[in-house]
Amino acid sequence: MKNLSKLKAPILAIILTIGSALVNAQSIKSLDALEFSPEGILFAGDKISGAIHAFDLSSETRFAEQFEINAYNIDAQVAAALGTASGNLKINDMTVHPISGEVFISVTRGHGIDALPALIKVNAESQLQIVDLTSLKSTSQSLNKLPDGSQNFIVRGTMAPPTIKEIEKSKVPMRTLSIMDIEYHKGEVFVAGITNENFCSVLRRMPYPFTGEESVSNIEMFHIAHDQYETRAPIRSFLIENIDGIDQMVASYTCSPLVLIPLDELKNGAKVKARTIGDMGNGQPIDMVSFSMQGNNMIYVTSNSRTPRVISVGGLEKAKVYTEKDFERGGKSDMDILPIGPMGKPVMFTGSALQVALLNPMQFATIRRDPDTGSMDLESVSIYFANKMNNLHAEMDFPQYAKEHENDKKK
Amino acid sequence: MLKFSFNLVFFLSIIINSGVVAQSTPELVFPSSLQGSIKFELSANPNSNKEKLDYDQLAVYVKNSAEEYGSNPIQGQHIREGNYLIFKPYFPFESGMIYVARTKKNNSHSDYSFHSFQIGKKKKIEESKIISIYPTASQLPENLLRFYIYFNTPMKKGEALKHIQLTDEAGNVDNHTFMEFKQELWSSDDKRLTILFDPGRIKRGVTTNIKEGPALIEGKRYKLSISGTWQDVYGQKLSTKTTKEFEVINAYRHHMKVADWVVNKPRTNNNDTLTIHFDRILDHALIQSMFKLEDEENNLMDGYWEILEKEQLVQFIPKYKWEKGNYRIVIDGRLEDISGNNLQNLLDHTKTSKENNKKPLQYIKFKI
Repeated sequence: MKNLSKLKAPILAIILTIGSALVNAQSIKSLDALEFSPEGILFAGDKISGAIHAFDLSSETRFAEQFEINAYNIDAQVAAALGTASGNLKINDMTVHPISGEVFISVTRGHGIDALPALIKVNAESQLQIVDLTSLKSTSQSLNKLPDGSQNFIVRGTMAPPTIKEIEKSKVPMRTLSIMDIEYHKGEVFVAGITNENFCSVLRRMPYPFTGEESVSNIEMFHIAHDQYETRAPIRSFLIENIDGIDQMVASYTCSPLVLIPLDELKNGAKVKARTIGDMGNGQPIDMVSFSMQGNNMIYVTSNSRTPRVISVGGLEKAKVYTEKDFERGGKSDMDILPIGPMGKPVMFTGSALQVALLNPMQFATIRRDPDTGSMDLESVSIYFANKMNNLHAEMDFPQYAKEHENDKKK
Repeated sequence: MLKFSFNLVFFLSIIINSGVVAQSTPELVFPSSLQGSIKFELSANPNSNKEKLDYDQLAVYVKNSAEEYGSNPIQGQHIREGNYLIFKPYFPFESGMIYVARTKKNNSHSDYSFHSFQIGKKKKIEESKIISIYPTASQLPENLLRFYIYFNTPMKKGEALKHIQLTDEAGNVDNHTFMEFKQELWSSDDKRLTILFDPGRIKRGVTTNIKEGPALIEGKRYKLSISGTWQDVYGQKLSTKTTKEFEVINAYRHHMKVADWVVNKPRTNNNDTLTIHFDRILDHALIQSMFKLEDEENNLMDGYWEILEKEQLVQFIPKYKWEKGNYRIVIDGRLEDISGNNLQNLLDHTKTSKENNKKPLQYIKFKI
């Protein structure tokens, strides 16, 4: 028995006392927004240590064939692998490896000071693996002007005394909005979030490989639904597309304006006025995904409050820019003029789309809340019809129908 | 990237008796700490060292609230040492969680056996109750401004005044005693509620004071009661009704001055406490932050303050022995008595009084 206690190498024991064996807890404190470069570098936002980490996953190999992903009860499965209950787990973001096509999910195990970050890979067989971040080559860049974490939001009731949940929301540090989304574009990393200033909504850009250089631009936009110019609420999700012949950011905000920002304007210290080209209707966007449908560039947008929307990038060319002069004063809602602008079409999605990424040219990977059971499932769905049929019974599900149409198939 | 295979084709959901947590045996040693590992003794088999040993021999699962566990074991590292197989999870165990270890001897014919274990206890929510009500005295002035109610757990908001009542000797309820705010006055941890008497009832000559009269009348007895049906944020009821009875005495209508307080000086080379006896009851919440003690070089003295004698006395307990020298007690001018009068002004005053002392900081100096 005695010699057994000496089994662990001392260095491993030291790492374990401060967190997980697979994460170097001294530099990586949380894993939030994720983004891959085409070469397989994974960028991860870390709101707690205030940095962007880049992990080299470029050696992953391509699978011979496209594969389906079906990992049901993904939250319970990840929780089990991490030795905890699903109530102690928060899924932060999901992305797909550009070469292997495998799904990567950033999560947080536990709450408060006990919280630990983990990166999960779901492979082509839909099996879960915890990624050993200590075995990967990695670099990090610290972000400037981050909120220090001491200031929280205010309590904002709506017409009635605030509820417990509304009060709980106010106890969140503003720092949690410091890194909202990351995009890699032509050798640069773009990050949306907030700073410690009053005019705090910003876009950061930095070259990769990291040099320590960071350019921070403040972003102002006209919010149609709120009927005001806003400088604090951050961009929730964004993409970079070529529109009107130049590279522009297509960015979405809460409640839910869509704006364009030419990349050329994002210079260090610049106060940039984003062009509001529409509003997708009240709600908070979660993800924006670029994909190609019959040769056309499209954007799939998910929201925590409404069904996904498919927007044609071509439709954003020469779009009208809205300002306060275009409207009568007062808030706007779904009940009157919203959505407005070339905001595409709302599309069917059974349940709630929590995370979406492009799995391969024909399929999305989605983390979906099932409308009947409430389970959280990771599934692959077609880009043309991003749905599973398990929650619906239609005419075609009847045996009589199948029999009557047997001959159709033979033809 | 880590690679390991799951040969767990079977999907078992085994009901394990709740509350049965196994003890370590020489054969199976459970982790002794959250960062620990689990050790399993394999059967003595000369060839077993060459076999691949993994989740099939030793796997640990999280037991869920339905007393079941799913198909996925906790992921970690298997290490072979002599006749023992050791499993160390990648992420530390969690306190209070019930885990199930599934073991199998390394001959393929044996069956699995299951053993549940737990490291530490689950954090328990404390029962909801009222810890104290301030002021604690049973005689309170007619122009009393506020009560503080301290709870053990954070309470449900927005319904305080439905649960709090003031009744007079005859049992009459006064529903307009306290200020109704859109937002109740809670401390940042949601465990302390401040209830304010309607200042309109206290300030003389104000409409509500004339129409409804003062809330408290000198010489009479009152009862503050808090219902036992009030729930905390976890849904736990206070369960017992709490009452505080008090008698109303003369209003505090004269200026509060530090010159009226009695200071009991400590002796040199001694750990004596320094006491300050007030001429009235002071506000419990404000006392805690508005007193400081400095030496002659304006260094803050090490030690702590204690509130005694029903908020009529504070004492400073020094960390080190007193040395000879000049000292000063620094008091924030905004310090209030329980009627809202501060060191600068009276709450209920007629225009500017000559007695006002506008100094933001006031001092009591002494030498030992």
